[in-house]
Amino acid sequence: MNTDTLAPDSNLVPPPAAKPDHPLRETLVIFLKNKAAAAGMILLLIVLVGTIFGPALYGVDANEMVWIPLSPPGDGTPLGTDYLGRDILAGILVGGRVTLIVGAVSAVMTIVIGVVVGAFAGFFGGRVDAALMKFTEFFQVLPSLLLAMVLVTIFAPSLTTIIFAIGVVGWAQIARLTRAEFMRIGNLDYVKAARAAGARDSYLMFRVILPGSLPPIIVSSALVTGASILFEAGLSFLGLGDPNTLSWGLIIGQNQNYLLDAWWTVTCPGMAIFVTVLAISLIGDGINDALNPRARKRG
Amino acid sequence: MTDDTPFLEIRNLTVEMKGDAGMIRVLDDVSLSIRRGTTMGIVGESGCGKSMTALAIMRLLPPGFQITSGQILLDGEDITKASEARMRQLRGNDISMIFQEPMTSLNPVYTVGEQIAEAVRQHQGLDTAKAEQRAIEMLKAVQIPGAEARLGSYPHEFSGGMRQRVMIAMALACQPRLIVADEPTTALDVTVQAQIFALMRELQEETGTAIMLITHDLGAVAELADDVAVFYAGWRIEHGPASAILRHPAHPYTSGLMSCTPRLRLGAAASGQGPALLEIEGMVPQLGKMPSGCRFAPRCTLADAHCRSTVPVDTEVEPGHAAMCWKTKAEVLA
Amino acid sequence: MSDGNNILRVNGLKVHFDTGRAPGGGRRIVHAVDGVNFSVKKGTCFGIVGESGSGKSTIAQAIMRLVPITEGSVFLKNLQISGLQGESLRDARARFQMVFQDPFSSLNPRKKARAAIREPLDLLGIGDAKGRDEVAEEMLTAVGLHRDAGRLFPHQFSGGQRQRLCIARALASRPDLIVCDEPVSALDVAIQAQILNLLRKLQQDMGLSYVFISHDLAVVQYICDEVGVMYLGQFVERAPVGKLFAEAKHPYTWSLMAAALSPEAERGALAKRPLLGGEPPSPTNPPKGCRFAARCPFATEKCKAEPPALRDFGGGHRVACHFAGELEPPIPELKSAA
Repeated sequence: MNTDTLAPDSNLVPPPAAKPDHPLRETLVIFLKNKAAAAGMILLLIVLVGTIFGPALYGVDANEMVWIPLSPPGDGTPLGTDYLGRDILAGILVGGRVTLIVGAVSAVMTIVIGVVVGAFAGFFGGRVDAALMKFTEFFQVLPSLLLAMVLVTIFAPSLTTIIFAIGVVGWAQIARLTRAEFMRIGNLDYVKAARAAGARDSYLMFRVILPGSLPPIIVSSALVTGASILFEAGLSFLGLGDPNTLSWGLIIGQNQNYLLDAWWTVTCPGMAIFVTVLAISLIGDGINDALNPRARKRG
Repeated sequence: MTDDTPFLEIRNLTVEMKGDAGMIRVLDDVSLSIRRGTTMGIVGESGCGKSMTALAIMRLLPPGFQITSGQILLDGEDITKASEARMRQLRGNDISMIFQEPMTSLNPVYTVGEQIAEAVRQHQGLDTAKAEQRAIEMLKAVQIPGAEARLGSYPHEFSGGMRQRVMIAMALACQPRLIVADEPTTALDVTVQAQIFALMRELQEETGTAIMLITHDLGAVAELADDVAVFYAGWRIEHGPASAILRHPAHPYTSGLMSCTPRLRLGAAASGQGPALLEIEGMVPQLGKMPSGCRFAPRCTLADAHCRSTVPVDTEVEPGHAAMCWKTKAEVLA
Repeated sequence: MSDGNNILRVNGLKVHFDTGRAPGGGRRIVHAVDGVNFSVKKGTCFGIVGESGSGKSTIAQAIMRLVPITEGSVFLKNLQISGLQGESLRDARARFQMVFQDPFSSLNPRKKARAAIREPLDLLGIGDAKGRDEVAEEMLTAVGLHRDAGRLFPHQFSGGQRQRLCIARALASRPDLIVCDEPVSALDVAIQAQILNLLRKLQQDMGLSYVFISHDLAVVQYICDEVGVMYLGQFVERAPVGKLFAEAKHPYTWSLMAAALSPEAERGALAKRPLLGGEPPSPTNPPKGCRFAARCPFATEKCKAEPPALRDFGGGHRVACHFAGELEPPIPELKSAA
């Protein structure tokens, strides 16, 4: 075992082929082996390819009356038409772009606000923490859908307003999570060691503590993205979507009166939302399981 | 209260763990026996299989670990084959365990009185009033001041030492015949440790329970144990009466541990520099990467080619004291 | 006041923590460290022993400026580190470093060993990139690790090796003082001996000075030159190591000695020793008189009313007990020496 003469009292002789095994390597391996997560990835990939290349490949204008209104799937169009005779499949392919963008951008906004607020609260503690957490609680106790509706109504329903509204109402739980992680990791000795080694606060917050607290934040980011897509659909359904940009929620909202007569007008975009949110949740679960292998084995 | 029939006998116990490339042995053909009313000290560095032995006895091995061969005889009954229902009956009733960290082994949402009484009710079938009475008796037995009043306290209201007393009270409440104590005082201060040890001895004399004390501290072994088993890398490499092993260890690993332990020198002995601490170089080999031959050979100053190639056998140096070492007779005792 | 030989001087150090409102008005103040004086001579090791809650780790963190100092001063040579703030404190950090108790939580799991050792140099801007890597390799070898070990992540090391890494990190900026907070408590005996011998060897090779915090008297006796025994935020006894273990005069020191275990002791030896009952009182409301009085077998009314001063018994031996020198030590070894 002790073959190296360079360091006689050494008890560490790295094997010649020892790779610098990054701590996240195992996580990645577990994630890639997870069948549910793989299914989620494939579904999401299909959705992404469909929304990016679909409209061009399908070639039907989603805003034009192309067939008899409210004709069922297969009768002239693959997924039927809506009350204005527009092709539902074209609507889903085009509307997906807006839905996904709104979901992604508002999720990013939610996460950025949440992480920043949580990081400052958890790192500085004391009065900063008390003030920021009071502020967070304020947003947490307000009914989020109502708040978003109010915001959208005040600022007129445009894409930007909707993204802003979803971002503003959703960040509180991310902030709480980040704060808890910052407090836990901030107490570990390696953070003290970095401070003793001359680290500034900003370095400690964003270079030392933040990377360590990312895993749970990443997991909840996936959930937040799913929730944002649902939120956008909900707002559109209530007639608060941007009427000029087609999204899945808008298709459902505009056709809700015909639900009983023409189920496909609502069901097909609904399935698209369901599949996308499911895919994102599966991926989120997969990341969670990969980051906590022990919890997975027990469960 | 002691007698010579073994109460717990472990015969050729092997525990394996599922690894990436097949099964990995964490305990390899381990045998030991504990007599009624006596204390067996299990010594070794972390990762040597001490705690695995304890968990195997409790049949509480973590997922992925399993007993692949051998027997654990509790008063003649092989508990490796016992049903889960039978094990539940045994745990608490006949065997109880004291863990290292008393905070995490007590439920924070129940009072200690409720927890002790619940254990008694479940295992001994006493009614609520009697169970509470028993809880008070137990808290008194472990010398918690104001036992009646503290019955309604929650674990977090106790200090570390007091919590460990509560754990001991819980372990003793059902009058078990074997207590498995896994590093019971490692998290405690020395003065509190001394109190807990004194308490354990006293209670053992009263109840005649057998104790398996898992520790890394040879001092604790000297204080409490009648017999010792020294573990290294999943092997039990030396066993025998505590006094014999601590006075003249037969395995180079045991004598190495002895010379690594700093000694307190008081009074006249305190002047000048004490003897240098000897080291055992290197570290315990990793699971699944065991050297062939003697597992201690890479760290052993006495090892030769024979040691490195051939697994040593138990060599008896005196009745009841044996070491698993090729060099035992020739070098260590010389 | 200034002694050229002293690396560290701690004068009247107090660290109090405000832990919120006390029931019945006022604040709940924890007197973690309550008036501590000592100095560390160059190339020596000053040990602080005590039980958990005695405030010994808080002293370490106060010297390292990781917790706010309530009162008193800390001098590193002629630099008053207790008064530094912001950038000047950061610049001074190269000169005093720390080794923590738990080698698992004191290394960033996402940083390779070399980066961990380089961290103080990177943060303080000492040397250029190439020079820092050279220092890292040099330190790895100095602590007995392979120089190539720098490219591994902490989880690929064992506990003892991690503690070596932590020592290498503390050495990297060539500090005057290293504060070791229970550096061997989390390690197995065999590894503990390796680390203690390593610390000793480094001290001789590099002329290092240590503040060494431990709960283990035997370890302190092995590595320290001078020892302070702490109880509830204050020193009850302070002496050069030989004197302390030969002629301890404080009842609390005796009780620590009595509770120590030895592999050579007879079975049940503790039962014959004078063991302490009870546990330390809360540092939130320290008693008025001698803080040890409630547990002291020799305590009188005077002890409960009046706090004893740290009195000088010659040769640097100081004891805070009204009856120091008058009491008969209950430990046979100490009697024969007296």
